[in-house]
Amino acid sequence: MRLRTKFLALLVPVGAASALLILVLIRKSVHGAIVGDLGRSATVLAQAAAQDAEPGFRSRSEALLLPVLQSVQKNQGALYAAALDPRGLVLAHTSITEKGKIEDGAAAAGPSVRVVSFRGEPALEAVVPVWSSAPAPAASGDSFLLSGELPAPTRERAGTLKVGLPLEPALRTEERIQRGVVLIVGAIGGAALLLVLVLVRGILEPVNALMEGIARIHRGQYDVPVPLLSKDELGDLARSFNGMSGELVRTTVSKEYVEGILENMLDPLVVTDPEGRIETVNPAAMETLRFTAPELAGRPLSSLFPEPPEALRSESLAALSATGGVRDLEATLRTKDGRDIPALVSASALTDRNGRVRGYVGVAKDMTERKRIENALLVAKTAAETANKELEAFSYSVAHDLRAPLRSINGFSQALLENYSDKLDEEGRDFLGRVRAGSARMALLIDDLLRLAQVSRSAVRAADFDISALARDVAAGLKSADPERAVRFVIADGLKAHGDPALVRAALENLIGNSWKYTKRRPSATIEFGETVRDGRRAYFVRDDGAGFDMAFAKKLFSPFSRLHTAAEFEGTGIGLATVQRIISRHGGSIWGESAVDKGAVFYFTLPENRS
Amino acid sequence: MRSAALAVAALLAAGSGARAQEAVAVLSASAGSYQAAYDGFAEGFGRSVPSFRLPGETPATGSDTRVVVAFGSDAAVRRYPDHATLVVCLAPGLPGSDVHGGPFVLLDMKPPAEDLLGKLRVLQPRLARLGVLWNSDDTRAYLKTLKRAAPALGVQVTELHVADPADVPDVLRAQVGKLDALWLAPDPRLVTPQTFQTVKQFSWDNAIPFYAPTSGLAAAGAAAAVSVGPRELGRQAAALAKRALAGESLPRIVYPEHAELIVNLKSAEKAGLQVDAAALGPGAQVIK
Repeated sequence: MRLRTKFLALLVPVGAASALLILVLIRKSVHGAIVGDLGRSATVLAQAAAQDAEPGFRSRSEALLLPVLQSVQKNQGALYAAALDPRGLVLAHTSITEKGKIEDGAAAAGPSVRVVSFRGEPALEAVVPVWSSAPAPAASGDSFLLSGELPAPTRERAGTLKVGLPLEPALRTEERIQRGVVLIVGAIGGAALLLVLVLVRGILEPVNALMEGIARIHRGQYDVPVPLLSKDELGDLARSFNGMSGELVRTTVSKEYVEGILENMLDPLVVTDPEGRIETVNPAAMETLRFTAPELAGRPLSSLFPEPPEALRSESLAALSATGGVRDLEATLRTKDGRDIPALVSASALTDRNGRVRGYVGVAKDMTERKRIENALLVAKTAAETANKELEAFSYSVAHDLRAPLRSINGFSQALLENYSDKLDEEGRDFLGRVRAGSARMALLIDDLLRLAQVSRSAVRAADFDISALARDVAAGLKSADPERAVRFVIADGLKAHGDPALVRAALENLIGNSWKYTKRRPSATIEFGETVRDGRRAYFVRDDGAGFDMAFAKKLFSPFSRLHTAAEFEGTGIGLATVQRIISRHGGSIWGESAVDKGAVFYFTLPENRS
Repeated sequence: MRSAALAVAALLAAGSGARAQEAVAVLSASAGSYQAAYDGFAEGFGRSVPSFRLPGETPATGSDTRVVVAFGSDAAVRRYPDHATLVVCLAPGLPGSDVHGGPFVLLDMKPPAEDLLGKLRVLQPRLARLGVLWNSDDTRAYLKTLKRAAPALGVQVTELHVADPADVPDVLRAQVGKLDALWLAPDPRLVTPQTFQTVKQFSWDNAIPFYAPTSGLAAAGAAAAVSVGPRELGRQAAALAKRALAGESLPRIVYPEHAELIVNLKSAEKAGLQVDAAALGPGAQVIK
């Protein structure tokens, strides 16, 4: 039963009973007062008339009695008046046909009042005895002598006077009062009922708000506070409830939140009961499998696969709780229209706080696109590797095969200069010199190309090593090759790196070698090697104060055969920085340069962080 | 000397606010039915007539007074010049016909017998036995005309002579079950407050409608009255006065015309009479 109904069921009968009791008591009281008052009036009236009627009683004369009775009737509004002799015989009556009849009540010694019906009308009848005084007997000498008292006058019963006052006006008054009382009681009752309803509403509103709040929590909506509608205990309760729901928001993932996740998940998700029958699926599952939720509901999880993985067979599901689940299980899902979808499936058991299995949840990752891309990549990779290998082999063979004729050119050119110098004029010697210089440059190019090819082909053998020592070694080699140059090397001590030391050495030889080369026009120069942090990454740098370069051409720096200076300015093949970049990228790092013309240049590179 | 005396008398008459003329009106009282009758008289007479209201004013009559119209018994029993014709109305208790030495006309209050019975039949269609309570000799003559007219209207009239008003209860008790209605004759000695109360209560107790001779008694509790209103009586008195002034010899008693039916609905109902007010006709008055 609802609280409001209980309130009303309790209060309405009590109120109605109280109102009824009040009405009954008031009615009784009013009736008593009115009838009592009327009875007293009737008695007084009858007693007054009795005195006037005494002569009529004595003579038993209707002619004397009737005017008195009619006077009472007319002047006092009596319904009737009657004079009875002591035996009850009607001597006179305002209704003259009553004369001669015998009526009761004539023997009463004192006044009395009673309710009667006269000719169908209710009346209040006052009955008073009428006495006639007889002269006192003469006092005898003895009695007066002895008592000193005069004998009392004797009284004789002359008859009885009846006066009937109409009760109808009194009853109407009573009825009017009762109607008024009923209206007042009704109004009070109505007001009380209204008050109760308002009160009940005042109580129920916070209660309903609390119930609504509880229902929302039941639906998983924890973050909707209950309004504080009162400052009483219910208000305290609402405050506590809000505290509790707030705590739930902080400590519990709401159902709405979970549903939001499920709704917005891109991967299919299926939840089953402990027997493996599907209970819940998310939109992604329906879209992937082409089934509606009702179509999937109740189906075994294994039915989603043409060949269910062993772990996802109905009889095997129980094991998931023990194993903690399966992850990235390669499987094939079958859609409603019979299409097979490659997928990675993960599944685990859903357990309650007591460890009981409430069901299983499975998530599938549609691998169709990934498989397609993987296949495409694999094909491309195979093709690229094949092409690369062919290219490297071609480059190597070209470079290697070019060496022999180049050596021949160089050797025979030198033999000509040495053995036939006198037979050549100056111009001929100059031509031969140029041939030799060209072959030497070509040899250098071939060496660089071979190195680049070697760098690309050789495996990276990573290890931790002292890169400061490596840089210092490279610097020492350069200084020893040209000790006359005034170049100051500033190399940070103790820097460690993780990578292939041979390849990193080749990279440093190029970078520091470039600094050495591009500072050669400075009377004195400084070349630094150190470590810094750029964009949150640890980076090694090689800085010089040499010729620098225009940053507008920075993108060309690492392209093979690209040069920002002429060979006349600074010798080189344009393959060095390409080789450095290949080395760094093979380590998974990156390289970039910053410079300005005549302001020097700095090259940063990064290496893998996992230095032990 | 005679001329001087007449002049003094004329001056005295003027001084008293009244001057003797050929017609004079005397009212037993200044208000009520007498005044209404006088208004009717003035209306019917057509010109202003000196009027005197007893007991405060003394009627001024003289040798040139030819007609005195008295309204009420008190006005009728005063002494007036014998040469003047005395027209009396509203005087049901007038003691005998020797109140005036000269010509005398009594405009009776009782309606014409046919008119009375006809109207009572309209009011009480089943009326067959009508008891008439009466007392004075003047009514005796009227009863004869009433009894003559009754058979034609299917009514039997029973005379209920009451020698002493104290006998009314006995007379009435003897008629229980024998009458359909009672008519109270306009005899002042009979119609006292006590007898009226007795008859009214008897009527109500025994479901015998009782009819009165005046509208005042209908208002006081009779079921109905068939009477000529005071204003109409005044008008008819004016007509008699004019006839007297014209030298016409008039009968000693004239019964008025144009009686009205006045019905007290509550009293009629108490007396067991169901009245269809719509069937009473346009001239009937209804007291609700």
